[in-house]
Amino acid sequence: MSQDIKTLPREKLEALIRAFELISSSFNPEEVLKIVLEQISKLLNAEAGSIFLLDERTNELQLKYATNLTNEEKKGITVPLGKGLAGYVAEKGEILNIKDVMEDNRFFSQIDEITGFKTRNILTVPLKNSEKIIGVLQALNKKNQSSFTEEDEILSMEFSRLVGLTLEKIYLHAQLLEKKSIETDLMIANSIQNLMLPSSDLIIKNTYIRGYYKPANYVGGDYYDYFQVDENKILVVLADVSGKGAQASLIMMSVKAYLSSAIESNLNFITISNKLNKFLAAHTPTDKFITIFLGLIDLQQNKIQYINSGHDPALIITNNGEVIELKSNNIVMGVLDDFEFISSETAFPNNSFLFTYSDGLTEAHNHSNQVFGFENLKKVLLENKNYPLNLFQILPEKIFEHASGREQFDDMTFLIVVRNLI
Amino acid sequence: MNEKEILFNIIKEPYYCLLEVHVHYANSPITSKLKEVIDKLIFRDRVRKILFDLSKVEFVDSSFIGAIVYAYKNLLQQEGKIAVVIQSASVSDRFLIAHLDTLFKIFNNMNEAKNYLIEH
Repeated sequence: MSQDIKTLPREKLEALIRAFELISSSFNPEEVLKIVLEQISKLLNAEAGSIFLLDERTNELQLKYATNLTNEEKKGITVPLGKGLAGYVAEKGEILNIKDVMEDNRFFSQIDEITGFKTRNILTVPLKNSEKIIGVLQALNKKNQSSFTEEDEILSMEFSRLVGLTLEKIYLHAQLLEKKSIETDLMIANSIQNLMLPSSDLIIKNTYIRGYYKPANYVGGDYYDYFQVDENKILVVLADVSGKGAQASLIMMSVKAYLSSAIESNLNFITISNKLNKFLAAHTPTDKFITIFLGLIDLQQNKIQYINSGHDPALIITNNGEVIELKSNNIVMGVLDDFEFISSETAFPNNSFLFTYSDGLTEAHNHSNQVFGFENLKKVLLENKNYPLNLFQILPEKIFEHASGREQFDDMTFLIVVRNLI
Repeated sequence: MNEKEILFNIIKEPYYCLLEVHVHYANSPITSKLKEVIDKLIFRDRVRKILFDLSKVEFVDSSFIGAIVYAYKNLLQQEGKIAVVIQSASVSDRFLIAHLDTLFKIFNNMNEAKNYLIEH
């Protein structure tokens, strides 16, 4: 408490506490301001009161509540910052106690003219929220006395401070509710996005396929999938939308929807890529693109035909330690609508596995800004060449160990296709 | 005319605008600011050629590359162009893996980049 407030008599302090209890009883800002208006008049024994709130866009004070005005009358009453008594107080942030308004040329008589109310004296205090002026409170015409006293000034300043604290609490509460509502939406989005990923591992002809996905936020822009095209062919996909969060996840979902329908239509592998690229170029924002690895695995001929569209290399690791990199052979998708995609082909022998991933793995940073890196990734893959399914546990552990508690900043996704290993 | 932005330095030359990126770590928070600068240059100042100087940049994430693609696409519609100067091998790799060198020129030498934009 300031030194000044200690000079107030006990009954005034009690009245102040009662007023504070009343304004603290609601989380509705409109309701609180109405109580504030009643209480300012009561506390200061004033005939009337008013509240102006500052519109930061126009730098004008808008009359929000006034005891002596109807809703219709107060509509549209504004005071420019720096003009009139209210505008002066809002600009300077200082209390103003005018004992005779007729002797002060800053007095704005427009409201008296509208209402017929005759203002004699007026006490105006700034209304602050975290030291920022958000409006002014006014008490008009002291009852039974000629003007407002020094004691009224102390009381009104303290009341205004309490109103500011109350409004801050209300705004924080509103922000918290909004945050909770957004979090609920994002949790729903997260569960919807998880439904877009394969619900189970795929096992076909001694080939085992499984994916891993950990978004940096509730939702992410990475995507993996696998489709059985026919009895000998599997299409695997791993894609990464530039950026992350909700926008990236929506694009990811459209990729999933597009691919699913294209595969059902028995479209050729290259045609699917060309059409998907055209679709993304037409329907994604200008700053978005997709890197994608599409691999068509032929289990009978032990080979993989692939399109790597601007994505980090997929890797085939054989059980004798050979590493085959399936490097980017096309531009990223969603940038050039008429680009003609090409595919490459390589052997995918038995006793080997395919590993494709998003850059959230290799670019996981530690506190010294060192990335996990491609070489480190290859080392971990080779260490587990005979038991690649162990990677679902070991690899995230290694990456989080490298990050040493630094927050995950990008989505982490990988997909493994194991051929005839133990 | 020189115009200081918080993380960027903009130098308007007669034939192009040089946009120097003064960060080592170019990720999402930098990207949103870069897009604002790009918008001002293209739509407010009617700049038609932008030379992005990423010489000081040592890491780029995909959102940052997206902002460069955004500049490329918007300038393409206005018959403009961009060029990029990169020194870091890892940053250069990110652009090359994405095959973005098929869209715009990527240099490791500033003078060559400037001459290219003057001549084209």
